[in-house]
Order: sequence, then structure tokens, then C-alpha cells
Amino acid sequence: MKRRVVITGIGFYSPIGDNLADLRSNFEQMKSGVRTMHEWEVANGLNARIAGVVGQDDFSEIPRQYRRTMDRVAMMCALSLKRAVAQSGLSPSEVSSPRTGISFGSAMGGLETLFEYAEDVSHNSGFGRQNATAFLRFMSHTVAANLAVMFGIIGRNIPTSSACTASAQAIGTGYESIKYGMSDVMLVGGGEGLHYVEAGIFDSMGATAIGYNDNPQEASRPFDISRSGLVVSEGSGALVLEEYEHAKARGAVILGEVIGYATGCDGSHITLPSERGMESVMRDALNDAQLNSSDIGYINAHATATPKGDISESIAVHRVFGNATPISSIKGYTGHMFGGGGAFESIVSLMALNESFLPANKNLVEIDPACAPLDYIRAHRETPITAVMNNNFAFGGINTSIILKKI
Amino acid sequence: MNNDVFEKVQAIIVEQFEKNPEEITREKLLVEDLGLDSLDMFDLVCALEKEYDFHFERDMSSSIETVGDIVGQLEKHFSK
Repeated sequence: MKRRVVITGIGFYSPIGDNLADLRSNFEQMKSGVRTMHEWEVANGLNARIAGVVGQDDFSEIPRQYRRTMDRVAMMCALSLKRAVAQSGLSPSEVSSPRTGISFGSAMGGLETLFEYAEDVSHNSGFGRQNATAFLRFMSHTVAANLAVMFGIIGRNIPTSSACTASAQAIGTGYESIKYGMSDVMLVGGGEGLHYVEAGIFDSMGATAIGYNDNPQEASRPFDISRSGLVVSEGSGALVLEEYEHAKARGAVILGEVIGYATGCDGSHITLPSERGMESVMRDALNDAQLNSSDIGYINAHATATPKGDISESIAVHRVFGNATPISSIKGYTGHMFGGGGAFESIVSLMALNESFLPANKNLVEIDPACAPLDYIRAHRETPITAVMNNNFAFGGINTSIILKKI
Repeated sequence: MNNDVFEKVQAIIVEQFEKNPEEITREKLLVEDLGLDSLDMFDLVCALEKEYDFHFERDMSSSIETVGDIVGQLEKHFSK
């Protein structure tokens, strides 16, 4: 049994806004949410002291009984999902139906809590005086577990934790759950909370943008010849996926349709991307959607602005699409939201569909000649399109491709 | 001593569990009246141990039912 899957609600937090109007305004003004992190002075030896930051620190609207076991990442996801569910118009009994499930993920779990916990155990209290709630805030599936409790989910709960593809795989899991009849509604997405440990981790791998601590707006430069690496950031994205007839029967406003998804693995190197793996996942998603590459009007690239990743991705895209399909990475505006990226970028892709608005590659001054010749969007375009592809790739050679269609 | 301990315990409960100070009286049952569950009880004991720098034995914490019981246990400990 194959059923159609539509989107009936969205919610998000990002460094460039928590509503579509702000996103569009920042895209139009080519304004980035990356800033200098003066508060990271405490981190010895850190090179990249810049990050994309969400301007939301008040989470008191989440009742304490739920908030007590949530790290910042779960709280951002919880409020994103609350907005998405409100927009969908699903009733509490529909949310708490056995036919409604959840799939949410993050790269790190509750990193801020884990860091504080480890520091306190090591340097202060040992294990004798630790809160009982600490683990529940930092465990790898903290987002999916906490959101399931807060929203009263009694259907399937499938947490994802595949770093940069965590929330893309959550969308794919939700899509397949509905398509193949296991659920009627899936609440999906993911997020990431910011901590300087993330910047330090990628610093150590030589993967962060260096030299922009005083010029953060220009730090994240996907496909540009002078790019030097990614910028860490935070954020969250949530979508309500619903079986088409289910949504139609209750008169829901349908925002778009998920028509294709694929995930695959390179099986070759833990960090180096494989053009073959990326190409393969895009072709599989097109097959799933039963579309030709020429049907895709916009590609939202993963492109994190690392030297090797952008080249591999451009070559893989060229093999599948040639050079005619408009492509941009929005990480020039947001930095890399890791576990939140897949969901947030799918929401931006949905916006591109519904508003006929294709965001430009920010900071793309001179295209790296090592990147394949593609239609890199240099200034935003207002172009009607009917289908978009959103790609995400993660360490471990995990690849995802999602295709959305206007309805 | 008695009021000092009570006021401190009251302040910890207010801060930890976002309660109004007026709600916190000695007679209040922690679970039934204040709505604390097992996780909250662990975190309350943890906060008290940090504040008073001592260790609640498990049988001590399991006999606590009211705010007054906490105050009593602390007073008993410090009178030794």
C-alpha cells in the first residue's frame, strides 16, 4: 500500500528568524545570523569564535514538568512542534492517537547539559550530588523522548541521531511510515543547541571557517573559492506530515507534498564524502518521486562550505542534473545547524515552492573552479517551481535526499 | 535555627519547582499537595545536599513526606 504524504504544519527556530517573513527578509537582504561569540573567550585554543545563534532564551511557556528534562535543543524543538501542530489544526485526541507517531533527532543530544554534567562530576561533586534529570536532558534521543511525553504520543517513536542528516532522516522516516500505512500522522524534525564544544570539535578537524572572527557575516561561503570551512550554529525545525486523505477529510490546509525520499550510505570513509553515494541518493529520491531530474525547479544543497564537501556535492549534482537546475545552500545565512539542518532546510524548500522564491548563495563571490559548473543562484530569484530537492549529508557517509512538490 | 532551616528549604522548593512561597508550608505533602514526583524528589534531595553539604541516607529520604519532615531531618542532623 502506497499513500500520499502531505505537510500540514511547520515550526522552526533559526539564526535568521522563527517565521517565514523574517526568513524571506533576511534572504532578500543577504543578511546572515552568524555573529562573533564574545562569550566563548573562556574556550582555550578555539580558532573559530563565530556562530549562528537563535535569539530565543525564554522557554517558560513549556510547563516545568516537561521542561525539567529538556536541554535547549529539546526546548527549541518542543516550541517548534507546538507551532507546527497548532498550524495543522490537529486536535489533542488526533495527536494522541495510536496512528500518530513521532520521529525527531539531533546530532549531539543535550550537549550543554552533558558538558556541565561531565565538568561537575570531574571537578566538583562526583556522582553523589547529580540531578536525576541530567541524563534525560543529554541522552542521544532526548528530543524525541521529551517531545513524545509533552505531546502525549502513543504511536511509534523513532529517534534519529545521524548528525547532519538527523532531521532529514526523521522526515524520511515519517514519510515512509505514512506512505506504507503504519501511521496516519507523523510529527517530524530535529534540532541542535549551540555550545563551543561543537566549534572546538570541528576546529580540531580543520573544518571550521577561520579568519572571520571580526567579520562573521562573510564567514560561511558555500561554493566560494575562498571558503575555509563551516560555521557552527543552532536551531530547530518541525513538520506535521499527514496522509493526504486524512488531511483532506478534516479540511486541513495542505502546505505541500513529500513525494520522494531516499537515504543511502557511502560505506567508504568516515568523513570524506563520496560523489557516487551522493549521486545515488539523489537518483533514488527521483525514482521514488517518479520524477525526471528536469522536473526539479530548485535544489537546496547541503554545502556546508568545507573545501572538499562542496566540490563533491557539486560534481554529484552535475552528474544527475547537468547545469540547468538552480541551486543554493542557505548555510551562508545560517551556518550549519547540524541535526536541525535537514528539517529547517526542508521548510525553506517548502517556502521556495509556495512563494516562488529561490534564495541566493550568500558570500558566493567567485565560484571555486574545482566545483562543477551548475546554475549557482547569485541573487535571489522569483520563479514559479513545482518540485524541489533538499539534500543533506553526514559523517559516516550517510546521505539523504527529500523531494517536495507544490499541491 | 528552626525558621532559618524552614526558610531555606522553602526557598529551594520555590526556586527548583517554580512554586509560590505562600504554597510552601510545613504541613504540605510533597507529592500529593505540591505535585512532586520521584524525579523531583531526587532533585530536591540533591539540591538540599549541595546547600547543606551533607548526604541524605536513602532510608532518610524515603521517610520524607512533608516539607516539615525535611526541616526535621536537617535539624536532627545538625543537632548531632
